[in-house]
Amino acid sequence: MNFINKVIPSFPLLLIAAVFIFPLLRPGLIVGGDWTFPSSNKELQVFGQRAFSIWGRLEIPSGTQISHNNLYPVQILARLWAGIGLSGVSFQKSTLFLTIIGIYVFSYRLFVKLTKSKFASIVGALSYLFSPIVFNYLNMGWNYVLLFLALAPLFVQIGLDYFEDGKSRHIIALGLLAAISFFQSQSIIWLPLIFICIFVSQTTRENLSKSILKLMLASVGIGLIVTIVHLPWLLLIVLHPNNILVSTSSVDLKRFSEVLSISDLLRLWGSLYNREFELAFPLSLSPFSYSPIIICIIAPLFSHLKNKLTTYLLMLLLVIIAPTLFINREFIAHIPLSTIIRDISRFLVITSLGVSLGIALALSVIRNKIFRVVICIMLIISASPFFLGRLYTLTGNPTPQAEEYRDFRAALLSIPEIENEPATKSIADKTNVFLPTAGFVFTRADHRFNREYWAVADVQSNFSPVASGIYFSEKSDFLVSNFALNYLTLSSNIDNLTTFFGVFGVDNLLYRSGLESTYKSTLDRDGILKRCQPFLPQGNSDWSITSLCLIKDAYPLIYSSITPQYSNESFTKLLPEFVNLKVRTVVLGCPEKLKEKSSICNIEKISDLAKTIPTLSITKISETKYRVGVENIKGKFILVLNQTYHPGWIIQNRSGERQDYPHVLVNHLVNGWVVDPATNQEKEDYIITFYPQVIYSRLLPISLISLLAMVVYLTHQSKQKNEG
Amino acid sequence: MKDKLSILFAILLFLYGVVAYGQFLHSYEPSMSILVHEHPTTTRKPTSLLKGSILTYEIQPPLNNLGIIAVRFQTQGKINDDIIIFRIKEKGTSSWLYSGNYKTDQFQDHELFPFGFPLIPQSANKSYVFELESYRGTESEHVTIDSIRPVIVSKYYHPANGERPITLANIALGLNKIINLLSNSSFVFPLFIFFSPLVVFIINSSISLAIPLALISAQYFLNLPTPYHWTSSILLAWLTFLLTTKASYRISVVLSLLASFYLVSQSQINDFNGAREASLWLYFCLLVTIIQIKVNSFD
Repeated sequence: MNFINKVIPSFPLLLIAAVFIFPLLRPGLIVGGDWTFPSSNKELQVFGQRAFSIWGRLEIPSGTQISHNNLYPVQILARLWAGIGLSGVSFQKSTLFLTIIGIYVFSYRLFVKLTKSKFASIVGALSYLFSPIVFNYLNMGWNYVLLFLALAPLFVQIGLDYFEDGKSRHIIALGLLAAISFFQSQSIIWLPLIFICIFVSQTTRENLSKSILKLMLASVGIGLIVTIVHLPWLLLIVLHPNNILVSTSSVDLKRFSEVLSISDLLRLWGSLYNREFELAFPLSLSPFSYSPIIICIIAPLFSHLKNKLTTYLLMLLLVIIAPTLFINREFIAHIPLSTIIRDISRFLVITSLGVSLGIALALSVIRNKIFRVVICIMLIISASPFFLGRLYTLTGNPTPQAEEYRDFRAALLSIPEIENEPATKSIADKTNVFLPTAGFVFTRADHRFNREYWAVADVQSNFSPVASGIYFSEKSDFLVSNFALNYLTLSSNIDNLTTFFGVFGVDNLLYRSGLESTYKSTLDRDGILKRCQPFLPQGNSDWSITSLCLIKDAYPLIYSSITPQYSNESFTKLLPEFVNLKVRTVVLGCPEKLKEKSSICNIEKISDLAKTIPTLSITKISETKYRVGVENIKGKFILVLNQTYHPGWIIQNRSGERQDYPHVLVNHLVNGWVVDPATNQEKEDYIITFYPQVIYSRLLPISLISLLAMVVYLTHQSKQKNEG
Repeated sequence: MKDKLSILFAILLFLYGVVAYGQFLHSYEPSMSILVHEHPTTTRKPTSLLKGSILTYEIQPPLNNLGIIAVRFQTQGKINDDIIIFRIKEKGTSSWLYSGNYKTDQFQDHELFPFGFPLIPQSANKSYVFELESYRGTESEHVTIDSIRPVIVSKYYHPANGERPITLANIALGLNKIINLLSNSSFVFPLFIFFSPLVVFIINSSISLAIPLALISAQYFLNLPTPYHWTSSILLAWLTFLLTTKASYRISVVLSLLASFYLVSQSQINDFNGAREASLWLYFCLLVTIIQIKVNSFD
């Protein structure tokens, strides 16, 4: 008996190791259906460094709008990891394995607290880990949702402690968890919902006024902590609302929810693109898929639940979250900024916790051993895809129609460390772009990956220290969208393509013949092979760079012009004007498509421009700050910063005074200023700065210190509590 | 305190009835200038409209200015590729007053479809015949005349009398409209439905359970349309019954289990609508359980 008591607690860890960890210990980066992580040490550095920059460099060669740095605590951790020389793969696997263990451990601790039964808590925690949502998110590579699943039970436990004791340390702990969980932006909705569920379950007639007061205090405290920790980027988003917030509409919410059904939500199944668990579930066993929801509600039939009625209530409140939102999705879709929710099925993270809590509760009140065994068998069957080895192994196309194919499995991929190749080292300081690019990208050779929504290559280019890509989606800035659509039109001819990229300062196009864009781009592959030089043999990886197309005389980052053209034609029509890259053409004005979206397109003809072009000398101070020395000034001129237009870019004189020169859109994408120097002024030094970065850099240390102080305080409190 | 809460609850249930009924009336015929009259039909079975088949109906409009005849169709829950020819004439005459073609892709399942035509100013107390003919209805692509009552509704244009002051005119128009709506039987049934939670609350006894049961039976056996808020009204009546009689929350737990077993059976036979209905019942039972536990804990 003693032996059994010792074995039972270690069994779950063995199970976790066998099902989740061992298969992923083989070499390679874990890549999911549509997301992945940095692979090499340098990629991890690029990812980590992003925590310190607010100028987004994700979408096009020269960067774009203000980035949402909600991930920055994770990125700082990644930067520290990279700093000690470890690779991205090790970072990804370590954090993923800890996350999986965390899902089990934190839910187990919560269930023990609420049910006072270790056996019931083990089964409940295992059902939480072996749930369809873990299966699907692991396969799609959405590790941040998994991390949220690990932190949610901890949040509930601290929330319950708070309503019991009402200590300020609980508010700080809850605030800290909420701030960290912001890596998954939906947590800003998920956690308040969970907190309200806790409040409702814990409130009685006797403690009503106290509970309301506690709720209000905690809400203010948590909100304040989240704001302090994320103020550096949140403030800038408020000042410059960007396209991610304004372009995706409420339609998105409904679109993602169209394939859902309330019956699937109740068995924790379903979401638009994440149906791996469902497709892997044996049809003959489908009645068992409803076992968890049935088991989780039966507790009152076996016991009076007098002491555990509040737990039962909490469980029910958590369970109905996803169905409630689904039923009211039309209404929710009309709420401003509801786009942050994206997809109703994501609320299963809360429902899933409720169902597992219900399972633990039911088992804690059922005394009949045979009935307990039957319940465990039903639960094992309901999680059968895990135990049938379908977590990482695809066994044929489960749906016969190719268009319905939605089954991805996480895989281990070797991505060549191209940043270490001598050839890439020689172009390391240049501006390079990966081809094919735009939209999602998948491999051409591997049929397992030869499907839409396969975005690994694209995401990988986001982490690359060698080159960037164009990540074009409905969330892209409208200028970037316009740029990407022009690229798609021009990609059928390599000469046009090099001209196009040359205008925007790209020195090299890196072609990977093993990859294909999901956008119907007619990339001139033959032209690339003729025009560009061979780079590396493809080898075993579709990610290898096979050709390098050098673009001679690409426009510099900063240049000037005194002969602008005024046109409302599209860039593709204007292309002949740009063919000679030695002549730096500047076009002011916008095609009709852009005019609808931007006031910066309304440009009037500039009079009194200088007759001779001034001489520039450029010094790069940082990625977002440049000193421009201008000599031989003979009058008005246009100063171009060849980075995506953003009102946050400002121009200052040598004394640091902001110059009020008209900020214009150049070549349908980049920044320009009509510089009007003082009379008889022959030379001047200007500073071009991305001003939001200045604010960000000043606020970030305050947030980091606050974050650190709260961690230290909580550690100290926890130590004191343990000693006490 | 308890009395105050009871009064508040009663007021809320009354307001629910008013709002729900108001929404129902508005959705049925929002225009103040249009009066309606439901015509009785004897058919209890749906009648299919296949190519060549002509259905003839006779109506006696009670008012002048007849301008619309609405007919309730079934579409079998899909879009059907057919054209329905609608024509109308005064009984005993040979020429048609109006004839028009209508594509059936615009018909909604179990909803009244309005066939509009030039106003007939002197329509009161005369007999009119109208026909519905299918142009190319097949076994797989056709619509059906529904059996849910009312199947035929006529509509009349009666604008405000311009000679009266405008406010008086509007009041008179509104009263006229309300009297007109309440004179139709299908407007009375929803009145019972929407105020049933209040009635259950006032009766405050186990006998009150008969009210939602009677409403469900009436809707099923008399083939009456299901108005908006039907489910929520019945659920509210049920919840009111459970709370006023202080019934155990375990009743709702047992009902949840029954709903979940029904859900499993429906999903096994791949009945998507059945599974949806079962999961909605399961969801609502869970919701009711939550409310019961919470309210009981406050008692």
